[in-house]
Amino acid sequence: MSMKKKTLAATLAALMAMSAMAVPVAAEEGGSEANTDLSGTLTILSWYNETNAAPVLEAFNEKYPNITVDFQYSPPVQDYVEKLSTMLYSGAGPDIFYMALENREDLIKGEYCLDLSDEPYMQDGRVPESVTTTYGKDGKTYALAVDCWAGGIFYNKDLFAQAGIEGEPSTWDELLDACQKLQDAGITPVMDNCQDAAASFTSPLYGSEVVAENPTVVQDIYDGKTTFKDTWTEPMTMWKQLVDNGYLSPDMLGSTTEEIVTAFATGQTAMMITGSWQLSTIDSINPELNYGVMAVPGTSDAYYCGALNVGLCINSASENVELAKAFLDFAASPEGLEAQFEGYGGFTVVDGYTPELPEEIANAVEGVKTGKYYIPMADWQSYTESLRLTYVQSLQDCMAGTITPEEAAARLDEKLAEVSAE
Amino acid sequence: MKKRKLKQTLQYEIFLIPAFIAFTTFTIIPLIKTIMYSVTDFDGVRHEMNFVGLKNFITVFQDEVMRHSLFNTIFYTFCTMVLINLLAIPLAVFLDKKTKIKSLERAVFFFPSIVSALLLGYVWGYILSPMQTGALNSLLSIFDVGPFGFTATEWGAKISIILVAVWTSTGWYATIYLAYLQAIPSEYYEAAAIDGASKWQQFKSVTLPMLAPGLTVNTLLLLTNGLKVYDLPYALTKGGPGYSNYTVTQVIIQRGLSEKQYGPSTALATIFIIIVAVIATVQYMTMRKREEDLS
Repeated sequence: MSMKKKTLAATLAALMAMSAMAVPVAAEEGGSEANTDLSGTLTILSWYNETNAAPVLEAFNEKYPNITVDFQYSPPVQDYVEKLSTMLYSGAGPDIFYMALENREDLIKGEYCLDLSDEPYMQDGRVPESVTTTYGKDGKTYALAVDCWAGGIFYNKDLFAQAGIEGEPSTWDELLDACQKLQDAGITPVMDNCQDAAASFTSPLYGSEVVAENPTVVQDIYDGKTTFKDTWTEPMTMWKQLVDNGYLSPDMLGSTTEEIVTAFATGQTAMMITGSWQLSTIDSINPELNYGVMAVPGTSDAYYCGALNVGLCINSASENVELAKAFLDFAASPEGLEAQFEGYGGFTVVDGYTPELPEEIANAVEGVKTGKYYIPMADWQSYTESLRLTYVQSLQDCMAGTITPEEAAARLDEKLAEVSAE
Repeated sequence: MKKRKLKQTLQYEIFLIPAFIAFTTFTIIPLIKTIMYSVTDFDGVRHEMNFVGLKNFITVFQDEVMRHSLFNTIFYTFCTMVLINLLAIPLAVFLDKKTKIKSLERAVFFFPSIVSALLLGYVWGYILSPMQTGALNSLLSIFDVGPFGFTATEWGAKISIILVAVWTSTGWYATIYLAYLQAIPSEYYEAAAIDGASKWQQFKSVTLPMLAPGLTVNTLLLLTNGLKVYDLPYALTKGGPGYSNYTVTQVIIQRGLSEKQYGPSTALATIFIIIVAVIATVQYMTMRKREEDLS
């Protein structure tokens, strides 16, 4: 190769490298290439209520003053899933809506979402691969999730100290010992109403006791190589010890999540299991509360609760695709990420904005980032909602003492057999 | 002459059109579609569907949750129907008395029925909360009793739902009885008094027979409202604990809209429509006969 050719090749390589870098730079500058003259009305069915969505909508309107957002809200999970599916099926779907683990299968199967694989934020490496694996199929990505949530056992450090518990229990037996000490000290050890499949004791236990040993266990269940009964009985039996030993009262089945959070924030219970979305509520009730979040300890490992949050989708039948794409571009931009963190409180996973994490939840977020978490709905790729509802109902029945952990686990097999036979 | 009569009839019939359109759109078409979906594998996601015969109806009878919801709904309907009627009639008699605060008394008893059942469910959820801070448990703690998990067990939740429903609706049904009471001519009571009838005999032999049409109306309303109940049990217990207090409507909504099993869901709806139609017809015919016997 002559010197001239070598110089040309080097120049071309440098230009290519510069052009490759240009996209992230533009993104970091907040999508400076965006056509802010776009105008029209964009309809959104939001997973988040008006108050939480306000910072996002304000920031978007600041950037796109000529786009009017027609905002609708439906509370998650069940109401949201039901309303969205009805709207989409009847052809009255909004331009933008959210994909959750619970409706992922239906939205993809029904071809209701636009493929986002070729969008700049998916191409330039800003969005982590976990978004594609969670909200994609056959190499296509259908939703833009920008943040995650983390959770685990929220515990009151002062009440732990009062009961003589030093440090966080690192095994299940140590957790049981801690509960006993709390009970002996006249403190209610734990409150839980078993209404949330995402933040529960049994899910992280399944992660540490079963999935850690066999990462493809759920696929094995779907393939008929093993069963829910064989794999879920153990974590459910471990959790049931809390009820059988009187640390977790079945009376809690009649309580609401708000009541439990209030009880925790006001020192009426030493522990509860929930997610990062309750941080602001605890802070608003008792800003002085001295608490932390720990993983659910298993026999040898400890897992947190957590998952990617819901992702934004563009309706494949939308007549405002350009406006919708502008909204998603904005959502993936640094100012969009910041606004979403401010409004929704999820922990940003897309590059471009690094939120300051509250001290209490920092370990849990780190645990989620390093894969020490488990949420069954992410693995239940088919019949997710049927299985989720059965899971919650079975745990409640088990807590009420009307069925055994083995029967609760077997119900998942029965449900899978029922829905897959349809 | 004939032509003029037809024209006159058509002039009247034209007033039926708005009601006919609304009834067809919101009742008849959904009903036909429900029956249609019940014999298909429609999933609410894809627009195509296949005929599957009676498979969905077999699923309904094999599904424990669906069977349990049928029992819960019928149990709720029967209990509320009996209890509300038992309380509403004496309440109506009491409200018919001429006192100085008559209007206030009527307003107090009628008030719970104008508030949304969903809202009342949430309010009662707070009252019956198992927490020490729950309203009823706070009250009981004064006497050093409790706390109790009123809605934490299957039967505790069932009884709570029924009692709240009775509290909510008794005033409303008493108002209907009151209207019938006020239509009873006072001469009947005067004649009975002259004949030496006691207050109880007057109630048994004059008031009750004259209330028979009201009993028919109220029982029919309680029956139909009870069989399609959804909001109050959902707000109070979400159908729980587990699925122990699911009602038929809740199962239809959950199976269809949430789980995308429209086939079994609409099959249950179809079976339920038939059950409601049979019960309502039998009840109406029986009550009519009873009315005739009493009058």
